[in-house]
Amino acid sequence: MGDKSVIARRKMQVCAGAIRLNSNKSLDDASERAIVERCRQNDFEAFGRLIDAYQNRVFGFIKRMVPIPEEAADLTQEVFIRAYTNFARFDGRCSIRTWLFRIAYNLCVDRSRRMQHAPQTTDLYPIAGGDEPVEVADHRWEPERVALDVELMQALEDAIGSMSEKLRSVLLLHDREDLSYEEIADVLRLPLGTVKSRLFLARAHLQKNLSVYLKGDAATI
Amino acid sequence: MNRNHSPKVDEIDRKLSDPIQTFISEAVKGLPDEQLSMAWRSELNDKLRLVRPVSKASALLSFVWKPTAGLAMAGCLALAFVMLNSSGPVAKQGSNLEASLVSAHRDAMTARDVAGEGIGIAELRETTQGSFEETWTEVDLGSL
Repeated sequence: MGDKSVIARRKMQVCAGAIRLNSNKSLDDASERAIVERCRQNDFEAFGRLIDAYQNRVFGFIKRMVPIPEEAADLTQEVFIRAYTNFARFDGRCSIRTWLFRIAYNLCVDRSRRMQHAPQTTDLYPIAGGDEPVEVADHRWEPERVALDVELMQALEDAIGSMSEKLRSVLLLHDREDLSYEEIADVLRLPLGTVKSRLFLARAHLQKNLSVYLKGDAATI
Repeated sequence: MNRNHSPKVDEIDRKLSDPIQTFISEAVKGLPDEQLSMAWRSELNDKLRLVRPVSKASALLSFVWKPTAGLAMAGCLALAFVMLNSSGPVAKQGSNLEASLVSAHRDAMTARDVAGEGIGIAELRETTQGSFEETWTEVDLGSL
């Protein structure tokens, strides 16, 4: 069990580095400023570049907040439509990334209120029973990426889906989207201390759900 | 005391720096990226075009040309209306002319009937300055 957890941890580290390196298509500051200025002048092409830079990240965030993929895709479109129609209201005090995620979060909250429940579990994949390993093909993986323990990633996705919306939003915005504590506080309209507390609790929740993979690490740390 | 450096804040910062917390953070960072399809993007582009604001140049163009086109059309309609209704006064003048021509013709016919060819009505009137009965003699009446 210890060997498995060590291997899982190393695989995660390698995969995390590889994937983030390959998927980091965000704009640099100068390019973003230029694009924002053109968007203010209703430059449709410039806004298209903005969509190219952020569509997958916004979708990734919403998809882990909203359990239904089709609805997540619709909400992602709504994010950019609202951004386009309300671009005049973007005053530049925060980054465009923060602004987009704020819109995304608000839409997710509105959707939850409409549904009158917070999304709890995803259960998109069959839950493994006992100690039997379950091999499930993941169509999202590209061949050139580092191979990863599918079972571990599925457990992680399930654990993220099982936590409350308040904890999940902070976890995804900080650990997945690299927003700072201040930016997250701005997006979620929370005090800084609350952001940090929720982040700690979210990670603790994952730690508890992934304890099978972490037993060996807990002993060695 | 600075709120950002209170004991409570320091404690939470320390907890967040825990190796297990860092490990979980890296695991979340390693989640696969989501990819959206071209169909999704095409649909979004269509929706954005619907809410696309009209440019100032286009707005100015429509602000100038639309009223101009409307006025031109109204002018054409008015002109057509005037031209269609203009036959009324012309007909009246024609009727007056027609009446005078008819009258002249009748006088000419009368004059021919009375005095023969070549005698106009004016000449007939000159030769008959007195009453009709006074100018005629028995010889004239006998010749009839």
